[in-house]
Parts: sequence; structure tokens; C-alpha cells
Amino acid sequence: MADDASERIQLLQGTLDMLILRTLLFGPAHGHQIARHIQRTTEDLLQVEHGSLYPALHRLERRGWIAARWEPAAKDLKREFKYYRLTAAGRKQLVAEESRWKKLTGAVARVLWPAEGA
Amino acid sequence: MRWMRRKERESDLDRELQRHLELEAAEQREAGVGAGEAEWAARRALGNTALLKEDVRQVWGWTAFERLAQDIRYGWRGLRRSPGFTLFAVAALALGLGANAAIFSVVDAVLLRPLPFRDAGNLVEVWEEASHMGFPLDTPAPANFVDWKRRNHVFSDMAALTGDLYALTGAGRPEQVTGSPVTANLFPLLGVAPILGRNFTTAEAREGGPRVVLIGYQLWRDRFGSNPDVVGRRIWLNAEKYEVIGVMPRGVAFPEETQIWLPLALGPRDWAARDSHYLRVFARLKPGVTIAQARADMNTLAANLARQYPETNTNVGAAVVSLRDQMVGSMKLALWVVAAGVGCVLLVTCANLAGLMLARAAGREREFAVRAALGAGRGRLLRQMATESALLAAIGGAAGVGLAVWTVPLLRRMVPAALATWSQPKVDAALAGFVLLAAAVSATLFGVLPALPASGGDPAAALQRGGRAAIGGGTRLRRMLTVAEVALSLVLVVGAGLMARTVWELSHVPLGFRPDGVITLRTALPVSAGSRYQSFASRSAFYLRVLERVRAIPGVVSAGYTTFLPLTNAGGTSEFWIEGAPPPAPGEIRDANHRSISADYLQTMGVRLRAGRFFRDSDGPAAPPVAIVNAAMARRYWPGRDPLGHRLRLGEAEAPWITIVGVVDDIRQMGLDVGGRAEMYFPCTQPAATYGFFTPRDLAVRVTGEPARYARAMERAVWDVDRDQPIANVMPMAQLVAAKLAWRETAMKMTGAFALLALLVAALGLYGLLAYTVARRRREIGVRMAMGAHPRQVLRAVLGEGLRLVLFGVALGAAASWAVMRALGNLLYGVAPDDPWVLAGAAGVLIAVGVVASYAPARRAAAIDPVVSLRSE
Repeated sequence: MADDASERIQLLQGTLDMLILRTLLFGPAHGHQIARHIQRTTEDLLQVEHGSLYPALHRLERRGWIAARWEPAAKDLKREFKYYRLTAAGRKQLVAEESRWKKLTGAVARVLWPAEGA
Repeated sequence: MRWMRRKERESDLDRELQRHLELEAAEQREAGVGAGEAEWAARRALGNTALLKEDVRQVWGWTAFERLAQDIRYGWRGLRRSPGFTLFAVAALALGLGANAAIFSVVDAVLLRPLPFRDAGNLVEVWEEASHMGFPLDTPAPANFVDWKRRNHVFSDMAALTGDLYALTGAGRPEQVTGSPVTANLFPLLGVAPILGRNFTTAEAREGGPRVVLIGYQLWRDRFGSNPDVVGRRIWLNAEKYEVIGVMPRGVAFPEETQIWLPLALGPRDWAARDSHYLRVFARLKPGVTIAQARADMNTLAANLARQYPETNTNVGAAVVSLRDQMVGSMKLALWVVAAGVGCVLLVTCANLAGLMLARAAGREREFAVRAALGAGRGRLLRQMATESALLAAIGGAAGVGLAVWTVPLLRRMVPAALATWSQPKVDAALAGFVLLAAAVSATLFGVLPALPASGGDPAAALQRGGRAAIGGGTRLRRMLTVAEVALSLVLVVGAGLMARTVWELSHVPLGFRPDGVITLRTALPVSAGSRYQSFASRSAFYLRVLERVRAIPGVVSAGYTTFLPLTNAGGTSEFWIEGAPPPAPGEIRDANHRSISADYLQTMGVRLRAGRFFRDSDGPAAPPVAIVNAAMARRYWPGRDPLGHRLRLGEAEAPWITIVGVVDDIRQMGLDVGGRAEMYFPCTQPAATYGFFTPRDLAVRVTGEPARYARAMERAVWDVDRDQPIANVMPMAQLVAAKLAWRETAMKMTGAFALLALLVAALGLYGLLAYTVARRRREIGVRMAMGAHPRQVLRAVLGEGLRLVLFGVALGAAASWAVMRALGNLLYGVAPDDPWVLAGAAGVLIAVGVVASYAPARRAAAIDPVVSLRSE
């Protein structure tokens, strides 16, 4: 696992927050699921540092963009997990973040490939 | 979630992370990793949990207070682990902060606390400047005051007053009180109003005006029992009845110790006088005008007056002094010097503690490394060290305030008399605030600064070193701190040395008289219209009868009256004319101290006769007028000639000629540090020079045995002659002389104590540094000795290192002293600020202390057994 670490892309500041919000758009999930989901959908290209995932979750919760509740897992009724879900404020935030991201990537693209952009 | 308590949140987070680890481990197992290995892999993937939790807690953001509590707990635990260090640090801080608090209380009382007047910062005293006669601050003549007041552009108002002693009689013991006839605008100018009754009216302040008086708070309290009915009552002052029209508020004893105020009753002729100088003038600056501007304006004005009235005003300038400076006088400089000294002590203490903190930090490198590895952030470690310092400073500060409670009352004598009734040093909120500030600054100096390098290290490297062999980076800083301690101590020792030399010089100044065995007192005779002492004959009779009774007291050797005892009045001079001498040039005034004395006064004081004779009883009112001059006067006005038989007079045409019959030694008349002024004495039995201000008032009596024992008998002798005569200032002459040394002596003792304290702390600092270095270099020294180094070489090497630091500090301190000591200015007497002997002595003291402090660690180094030291690590 550690061998291909160099191939992975470090997440930009603030990007993790957006990815978490986007992941929760599909429904409530706990920390491990969120990490896995991000990793899988990017085909392992984006490695979520588990160490930074939890502070990010608590930060988002504190801002009111996500809410948490302890619930038993669907497969395993005996164990409770802390499930996070998107709040209304979180939904708005995600929209704002997405449009900001589009602008950013567009701008970067115009710099990198000016001909195509024009 | 927000309402959850800390513990719930923590367990919540723990559970969440636990679940994560479980899931991760399960996934690892599914991927084919072994059971035991999977859990480790999960942990590695999650990273440093302690750090992670710390990050999450940071997100919670509400733990600042709790972290502080935790820091304090850790800090306290850390301090408890090294009780020796803690005890030393607290004691050193308590001494340093306590001493600073005590001095602050005096600075606050004397220089900071507001004066009892409105906008006191704009109040000034205005003097005539007559430096050509030896009076840089001279009392202005009435006509000059009138012109100043009319023609200046800088003052919104100017008021004048004079001073006198009054006999307060009636019910109870006759009392001498200091009184001031003042112009009616004085109190409005100062911005104070009576707390009872009313102020004077302008109409009252004229020649022949009504006899009304304002009394001071203290007199009201002590003599009239704070009775509000005192207003309207009549009291006896100088055997005349005055109506009390009001009581002034507490703290208003203006100027100096004045307790009664009367209207200044000068007539038109008095106001026109430009040649007799006896007023004190106070003024309020117009808004926005600075003292410098006022000085410039007054100088121009004085120059104009000098052109206009060349006979009287040539060379007469004007001086403007802020009221605070006037009231505080030379105490201001002494106070700042003492304050600077005590500040240095605190700096030395801080440097020392900083060194100890560095040593501690180096010793705890491993502890910090472990904690850093366990996830404590760099900021957190820094904060913990800061907390420890803050704790030390807080405890030391509290103990310092405790010390201040005990020492502050001892400092009352540092408050000048002019302020003493208004403000006294005390332990109050201002002092507590100052200590808090000083403690915070100290904690920063000795705690946080040295903590910066300690917290930045690489934990892995420190763990591997295991606290061994590394002669920490802090050692160089510690060396520099030790050098600074030595340098500051040297400055303090030099200052203390200069003060000690000054006090020694002043207490060994040739006084010209013998104070031992003499007791003195003051009987100021009232000369008002109602007084029985209006005539010269009645005053003479009083002196002669009192002297007769005093001489009859068993044990009394001799007794004499004088205008002023030595050292009690820095003025009291008269202009004189010499028979046959050419008239003085304009602006040059022949002026000498003027004392009117009874026949035995000079003998009683033990003043040596150089030529001619003392006065005799036969020098009566009918006999030819005679005078005695001092050696300085003889030298100056009859250089190379014998003044005996020459004649002088104290006025121009109408005054009688007075023949010089004797020459006596110079005595310290105006102050211990003022010598060599011309002086003339006249017999009080002859009216030619015994009038007005120069009427004798002070009695000196030479006795056998302890002078203080004669106090009661002398009072009885005076009251046998006149039971209404107030008696003041009963004290041995030696005490009077000692009092003149008092504040310089206090300053000396304080700088001395501070120097000693700094020396001790610096010595401990040097000792600590060397002991530490030796302990850390045990192995190296062991190797050297195993290779054949002789113990004496080791001893010399360590001693040499200590000495090198001391010498470096001494050189630095000597340079600093050289630059700083001239600020001592007129605090010093008889010794130059760069006196090489004092500097050499101080350097010697520091080197000796340095050798003593280095010796023990050097011995310890020399005693290292190579075998043991090589095995021990």
C-alpha cells in the first residue's frame, strides 16, 4: 500500500470538505464509508488520510453543514456507527463549493491549455 | 452535540475511532492480511491517534480554559518534581518583585499620584535667577512679581506668598505653626477651595486689612478636634486675634508644611520694592503652553527688566520649575536611581532564572521528546513551559506583595516633607497592578524566550541521544546570560560604591563646628503689633533671661542664640558695603550670610577663632557696633590683608559703620555640600544688624552627657520666661546634621542592598552554570584525566572558564557604568562618577565573588574519578 503513495494526489486545502459533502449527498454514511467511497470513486487516485478525515467531519458538523447520529448498521444490527448526513445548510454549501470549484478548474485549464480554452 | 459534556464527547470520539479501526482491520483481513497484522495496519493507516484527537479537540474549540487548567496542573506537577529549583526561583522572584514593589510604592507616592490641585501639571513656581550670587533659584522681589504678572504672555494667573513662623497661643500648649501670607488669587489659581468657610477676598489682602485666617486640615484636626464650629472663631496668632474664615482640604499644606494662611498685606511701597527679595511666586500655564515656552517668555521679560532697572535687575533672570519638581526636589533623581537599581536586580534575577530554565529544559529534552512523540504539538510544549514560568512568577509576585506589605511602611522617610501629608507609600491596587505587570514581564523574560529553542528539536534525535553527551545549544545562551548578570551586578556595585563614598565624604566634611554634645531648639519671637516683643529691648531681654536660666541648668556648659542654626536655612543673606572700597559694578552685589548671635554662640558651637576676638557681653546697644567675619569673607574682600579694624555697613547712607573685631573658621551653614560662602556675624545685643528676619530664633546649648536628656529642662527654662512662647524643633545638633544626610543615606543603603542581592544572584548563576557544565562534561573530563590530565589542570580549566565569564561581564559592566553613572549628577559629592577606585573596587569584588562561585564546581571537576565517570554512562 505504501509503495504507490507517490502516485497519489494530495488533497487541496478545503477540497476534502467538498468531497465529504458530495459523498453525503447519496445518503447518510459513517467515517469509514466516506473514506472508502472517496477512494473508490476516484479509483484510488485520491487517498483520504484517515487522520485528517475525522477533524474535517467534526469541523463540518460544528459549522452545521452535516449532522451526526449513532445508529445500528444495516448489515450489523448489534453495532452502532456514527452516521453523518447532509443538512439543508450543507446542501447549499455544496452547491456553492461546486460552482467555485468549476470556476477554479476552468481558470486553471485556460492557463494550462490556452488554445483549447479559447 | 454542542451541549455534550467533555467526557461524553471524548468517549464519543473514542468510540467513533474504535469503529473505524474495527472496520479497517476487517477490510485488511478480507484483503488477506494476517489477523494480528491487520490491526496494526489499521492503526498505521489512521496515524497518530493522540495527535488526531488533539486536532479534533481543536475543532471543538471550547477547550481553551480546560487546557489552561490542564497546563497549570502539569506545570504544578513539573515544579513539584524539582522542589529545589522551585524554591530558589520563588524566593528570588519574591525578593526581586518585592523590592520593585516597595520602590514602586515610593515612586507612585512621590512622582505619579496626582497632587491635590486641579490640573497640577500646569502649575509652576517662578523664581528669580541670581546664579551670579550663588542663588540659581532666588525669591523674587515684589516689584518684579508685579511686572511679571502684568507683562508675561504664558501664564493665565500668577500668585505670590511669603512665609513666617507664628505663635499659636490660647487654650493648650503654645505652638509654633508655619504660616503663609498669600495673595487672594492663590487658592483659585491652585484650584482648591476651603472644605469649610470661604477663601480670602481681594479686599482683605491689603495693608491694614482685616485679621482673618484660613487653617489647614491637620491643624484643624489636631488642635481643634475637627470641630466645624471653628469657622468664625477667633484664635491668637502672634498675640493678636484672628478670625478663622475657613478650613482647607487634606493634603493642602502649601507651600511645604504651611498650616495657616493669611492675606498678604503689602502696601504700595512694599510692592514697589525691587531690591528686597522675599516672595514665592506660583503660576498656572495657559492651556497649551509648555514649560520651555514659559521659560523663554520669562527670560525675555527678565532681560527687559534688567535693561529698564540696571541697578537692581542686572544679571537677574527668571527660572520656571514645575510644581511637582519643586515639591520633590533632588528626591526625584534619587528615586529614579534607586528604581533603576531595583529594576537591575529584577533583570539579574530573570537572567538567572532564564539560565536555570534552560538547564531544566536541557535536562528535560527527553521528556519533551517523549511528549512530542506522543502527540503534544510544539505550541503545546511551549505553552507548558510558559505556564510553569507564569506559575513561578505568580507565586513569586504574591510573595513579593507580601514582602511589600512589610517593607513599604519603612519607606515613609523617602517622601519629601512637602508631600508627606498628602501621599504616603502604600500597598494598593496600583502596586498590585505594577507587580502583576512586572511578574508578567519577568515570566516572559525568563520563561518563554529560553523555551523557544527547547521546543523545536527533532524528537527522534533527542530520544536517541537519551539526554546524553549533548552539551545543549542552551549553554551558549546561558553563558551570555551569566555575563549579563555579572555586568548588571557590576553597575549596581559601582552605584552603591559611589553612594557610599558620597555619604562617607559628606559625613566627614569639615563642618567647622562640633555638633556632638549640643542640644538645640527654636523660639521664634512674634513681632506683630500685639506682641510684647515689638521692641528691640524686649527681645534682647528675652534672650538674656532665657540664656541665664538655661545656663543655670546643672550640666549645661554654655548656651547661645542665633538667627539660624547651621544647615537649617539655605538663605538669610544681606548686601553690605565696605568702607573705602570702590562701589560695586552694576549687577555685582556684595552679599554674605548674615547671622545675629549672642555672645557665647560661636563658642557653644565650637567654631574656632582665627584672629581677633569673640563677642563679649560688653558689646551692648550703646557700645560701638562690631562684627565677626569668616575666613572665606576675609579672603575674598581683604585678600592678603588683615580685615580686623576694617568697617562695613548693611545699608547705604544712613546705616551705621560696623567694625570687624574677629575672624572665625568657615562652617557648613547652608548645606553639607555647600562650603566657602562669605559669612558675617553680629551681636544680637546691638540693633545695627539685628532686625526683622535676622532676629535670633535658634538656641544652641552645649551640655555634658546625653543632649536629649536636657529637652524638658530647656522647655521649662523658656516657659519660665514666657509661658506663651512656642518651642519647636527640640533636638540634638548631631541629629539635625544626620537628618541632612538622611535621604542620601537611604539611597546608599538601598543601592547597597540591591547590589548585594544582585551579587548573590549572579554568583549563584555562575555557580549553577559551571556546576551544570561540569556535570554534563563528566565523561569528557574523565577521558581527559584517563589520558593523563592532572586534576590541577582540570581545576584551573574550570576556574578559568568562570573567570573568563566574569572578566567579560566586568568589562561590559565597566563600560555601562562609565556611560550611566554621570546620570547620578548632584546626588554625588566628593567623588567623580567615573572614580577609578570605586570602579576598581567593584571589579575586584566581582572577581573575588566569581572565584568563590567557580571554586566548588572546579573542585568537583578535579575530583572526578575517570573510571567511575566512564562507566556511569
